[in-house]
Amino acid sequence: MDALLDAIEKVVGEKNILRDEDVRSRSADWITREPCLALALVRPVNVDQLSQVMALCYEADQPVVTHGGLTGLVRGAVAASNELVISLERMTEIESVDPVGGTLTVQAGAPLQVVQEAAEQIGMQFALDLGARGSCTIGGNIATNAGGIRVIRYGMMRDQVLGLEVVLADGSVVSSMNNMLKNNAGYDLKHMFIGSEGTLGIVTRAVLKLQPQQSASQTALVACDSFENLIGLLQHMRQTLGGGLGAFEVMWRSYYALLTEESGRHNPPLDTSSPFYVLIESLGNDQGETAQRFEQAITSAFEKELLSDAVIASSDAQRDRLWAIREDIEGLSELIAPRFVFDISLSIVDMNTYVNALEVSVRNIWPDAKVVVFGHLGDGNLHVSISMGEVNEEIRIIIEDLVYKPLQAIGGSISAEHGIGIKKKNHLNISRNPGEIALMMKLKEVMDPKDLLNRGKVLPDKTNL
Amino acid sequence: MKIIVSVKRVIDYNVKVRVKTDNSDVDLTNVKMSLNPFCEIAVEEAIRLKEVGVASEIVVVSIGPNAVQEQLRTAMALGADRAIHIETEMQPEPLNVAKLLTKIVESEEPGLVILGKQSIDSDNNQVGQMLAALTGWPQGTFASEVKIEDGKALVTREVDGGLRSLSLTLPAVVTTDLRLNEPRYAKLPDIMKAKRKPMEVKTPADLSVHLKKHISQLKVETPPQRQVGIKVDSVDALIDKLKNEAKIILRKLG
Repeated sequence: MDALLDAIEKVVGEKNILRDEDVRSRSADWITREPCLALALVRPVNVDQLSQVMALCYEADQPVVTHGGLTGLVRGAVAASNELVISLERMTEIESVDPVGGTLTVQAGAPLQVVQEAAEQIGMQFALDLGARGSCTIGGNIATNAGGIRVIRYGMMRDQVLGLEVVLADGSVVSSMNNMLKNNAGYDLKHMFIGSEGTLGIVTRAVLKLQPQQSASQTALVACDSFENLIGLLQHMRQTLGGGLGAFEVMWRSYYALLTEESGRHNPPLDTSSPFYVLIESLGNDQGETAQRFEQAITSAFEKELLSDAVIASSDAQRDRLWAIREDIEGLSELIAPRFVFDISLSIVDMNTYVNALEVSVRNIWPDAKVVVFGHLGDGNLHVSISMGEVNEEIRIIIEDLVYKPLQAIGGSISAEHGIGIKKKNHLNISRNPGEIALMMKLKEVMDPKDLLNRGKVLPDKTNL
Repeated sequence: MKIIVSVKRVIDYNVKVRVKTDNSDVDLTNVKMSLNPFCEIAVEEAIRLKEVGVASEIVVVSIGPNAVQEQLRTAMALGADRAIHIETEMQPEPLNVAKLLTKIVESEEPGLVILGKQSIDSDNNQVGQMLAALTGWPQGTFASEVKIEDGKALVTREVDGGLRSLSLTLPAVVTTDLRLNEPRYAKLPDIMKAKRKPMEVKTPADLSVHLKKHISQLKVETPPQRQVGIKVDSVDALIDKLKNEAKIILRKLG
């Protein structure tokens, strides 16, 4: 053990291998805030160092966990006391920006917000956006195939990546740093690593695709009095905005009332009596045209009675305040702690029935339980939080059953965007069939035969099959 | 009582402002414009006074090109009853604005004029005070609280030393500070109604005001880039840098 750590120290330098208190003081789970138990944390400064470190670990059969921004929600970065953490925190450089090709080359430890700002500097935009933007890293976004608030317009992280550089389990480096939009030469290896949650390789650099800037945005918070109207509203906005729809985020009354009136955390722009609230945003190029088109779309929706009330933000400050209600996950956490969190996807038309049935089944057992629902409805993705005052393994098993079983019947996913990590691996079979899981395990066997990379995550324990 | 609120269309507070390459001005092309935040607070205060029955009518005024009608419609959506657009392509200086408003005040005869304390683009903080001087009315600037009682405006002002309370006989001029209120959102039914509320368009000539230019803007520059900090290895190195590079005079204590 010490021999390995000494050898690693020679590669990265004394200051860049942390032990004991320096490791315990960090947490890989921002919900539980439990201390990181890893035997050490290593901070290489570039892919050469990282590759050497990984090669040493491979020789020593040392399991490894990769750390990015640590904002994941499925305990994907949690390390056991016999695991070594490789952190990308010193690999944060934006290496180059190409305004003509519309690409940006970056080290995987760069925070999302830094990349967004770099794109803005050259008059373009990086089209991924989520609430954790100040902390989450590109590497983490790639490993989890992150979603966020712009998926409805621009797709997931996968759609923003042109090329990758990866360190494999044995320390060898595979450079697939393609920067072209079209490259059909052989298998497109990057796709194997995107969304693999650090279990097939460690992403060290990436070439990202940039989009033209859409500097004009318009935002409204609207109330719908029925799910039928809500679906009608989604279709109406898609049509009338002609491709300009940039966000369609829904809050069930359970979420909206809790974060506004009930807790006093935010002033409610609309009263809390409606069953559904939607944050709608349109993106465009011209300020005047975007504003006019948006107002017309919202007004005609109102005339068709698809929405019962609305406020339109008249400044970016008001826009930020509307989004703050939707993005206050910290507040939600505090208000209903301890809670069970779910990130599911299902057909939009099935959602209301599913949520109503879930509420009934939960309240049958815990009459006072809170079931709070919100999410990227336009993408078919809901975030469900359930709280009944305590959290333990027994309750977890029951709750997971209540949430996941009905999903299986309608072909939904147990993880829309958060990934599997540790939390959901034993339910993988609900959303993936045996043939799929068998192929995943074969792939893992080929890429990481010693099972060193993020051991025990994503794939179910062999005993559970 | 009638209240007049004067509002300005400015670059949205959240926009990262860019300077034109010739340093002549700020680049306004396709930039988001909004109601000046302090003017928004002024509109909100007027509406609250109407809601408690103190004001019977709110008239909102703005000076500028056609585009300012957008901000006037927003103000009417928030609750103003009618709007006056004083049309000019020129960027009027504070004194010009004050003179134009004086003419409006003379014909409308309000009991109170509420304005933002300053606009976030020019940061002059002059119009309210000049208007009070030209009309001979009392002024309560930087208001963090306004109460109307028995023909007087009780204004609490935020000043460097704390809070100062004034009693002004009406009619009076009040300018708003940040903590006066939190503006409401414009609701859709009101946005739709506002389209049908009356909007009058006048020119400076209609008001017999000649807009004179006294000030010319020479240059606009971005602030100098902040220098990157450095780390030092020892206290001695720190003292050396402070003394010799940052030129901070260090004295021994005791």
